Amino acid sequence: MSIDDEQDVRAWLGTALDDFAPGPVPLGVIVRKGKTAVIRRRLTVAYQLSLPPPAPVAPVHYRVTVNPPGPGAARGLIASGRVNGRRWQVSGQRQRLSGQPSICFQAPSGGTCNAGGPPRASRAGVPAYLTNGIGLRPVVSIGTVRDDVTYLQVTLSNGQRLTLHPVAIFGPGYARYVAFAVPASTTVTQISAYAGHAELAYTVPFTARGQVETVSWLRPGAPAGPRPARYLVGSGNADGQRWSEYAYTGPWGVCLVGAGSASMCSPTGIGQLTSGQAARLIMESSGPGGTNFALVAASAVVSHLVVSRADGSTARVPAVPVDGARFAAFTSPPGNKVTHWVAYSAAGRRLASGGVP
Amino acid sequence: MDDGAAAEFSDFAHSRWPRLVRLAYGITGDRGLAEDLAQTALANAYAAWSRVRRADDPDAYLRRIVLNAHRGGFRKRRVSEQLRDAPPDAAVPDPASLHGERAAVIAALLTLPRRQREVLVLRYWLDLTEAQVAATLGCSVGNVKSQASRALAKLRASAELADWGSR
Repeated sequence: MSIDDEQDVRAWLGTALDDFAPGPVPLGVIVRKGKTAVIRRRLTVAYQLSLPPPAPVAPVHYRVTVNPPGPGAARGLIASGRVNGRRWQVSGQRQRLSGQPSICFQAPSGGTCNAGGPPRASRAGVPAYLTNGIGLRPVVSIGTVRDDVTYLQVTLSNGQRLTLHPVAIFGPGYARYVAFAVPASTTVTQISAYAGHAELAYTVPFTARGQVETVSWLRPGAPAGPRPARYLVGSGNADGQRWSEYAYTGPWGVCLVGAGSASMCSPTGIGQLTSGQAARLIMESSGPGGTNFALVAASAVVSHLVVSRADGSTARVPAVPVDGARFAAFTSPPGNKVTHWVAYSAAGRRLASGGVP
Repeated sequence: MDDGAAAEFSDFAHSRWPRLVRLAYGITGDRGLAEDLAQTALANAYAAWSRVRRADDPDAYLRRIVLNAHRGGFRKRRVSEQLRDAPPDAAVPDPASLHGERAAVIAALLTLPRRQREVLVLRYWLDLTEAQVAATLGCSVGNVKSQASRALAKLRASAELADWGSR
């Protein structure tokens, strides 16, 4: 097969896509998701109309500054500043790790790397994407911005507003980076993206353990979505310590914060599943004692899971309803790992199954 | 939504579903993700049906949702000090759905950066004009041309296609 001209590409793509047969239209799921979006929009409007004027934000005692690189700044510097008087800075550079191209970021509290080269500049997609978080004292958040974004304004829970100026650390043609640092206990209440002085969009991010997740972006003036709520998805004891797994719903959508080291966000709970799928393992992370924490997303018809362990024992795990979907969390300890799980309806019908890597 | 509008939406969804999934499959190389993106696009269309049905080009609306959802809709992020396995927009092919020539094509597509894949699929599979592609992606016509040109150059040198051609 060769590509000599545009006609070849058309034929070539036709080969790949024209005969590709999708499954049947999941009309029921589509309508349900669509209705959820409509109801959520109406509830948001009703809720906001019924609200008294917002109370002033209680002052929180921390002080954060962020500065763009000045003249003569070190190559790769994205931003620097102070958190409660303590200096921070973060820089990024290309590296090769295990022979693979990577981009790595370094801050006083730690470092992190992403495989692959730097992302290209783009005028499409979300206005900003926070790609990495480093450390806990403080937490440094790093992200890229869309090509048309002049600056971001980050509003913190103490009412402070930080202005982030994107920096082209990898040169022209590549995405520009922003960074800021906050104490781990801080909540970022809003991030707005501007082109010139015009606000392009804003997001109410989700913050967990100081890690900031930007999930859904809204037009300026658009209502911010449902009131934040927290659901306990699972809990127990592992490695001698109590663990809990929570789902947080709010203007950001649904975010699941693992008892282990991972978190995950999506605009809707049910969006974690593909059409016709009753349940699937969506998150797995490890805890400090070697126990793995697993999270299964399930459709509303799933009532519970039965997990089977290496020693032949089984356990029933409830699937907790959250935002039109259900979630079930369980542990897989190193000495007695979970080998597989099965999802059942309330009537005891087997709906899905899977393993745990 | 009344019965008439519901029936109208049902017809709309059935008529758009295959093409929408194929578009998403061309961009992601993953059947499950493609169907999920198409589902999200149609659910959005349902939520705004009174507006979408009156739109000049409802297909453009669906295409934009698919592309935006793929870029920014789903986030998974590990906490700090962990090396990531792949860049955020890396697509993973679904081995079960790949056969022969299609496998070679999808594998070659997935070697391209996401933007170049999007341009190729919109321009040469959907046969959109360069201006339509630019409007869909929110970029300039010049950018569409340059992305397409780079993508074609990469494909001409693609090992995946060469391997398939030599079998």
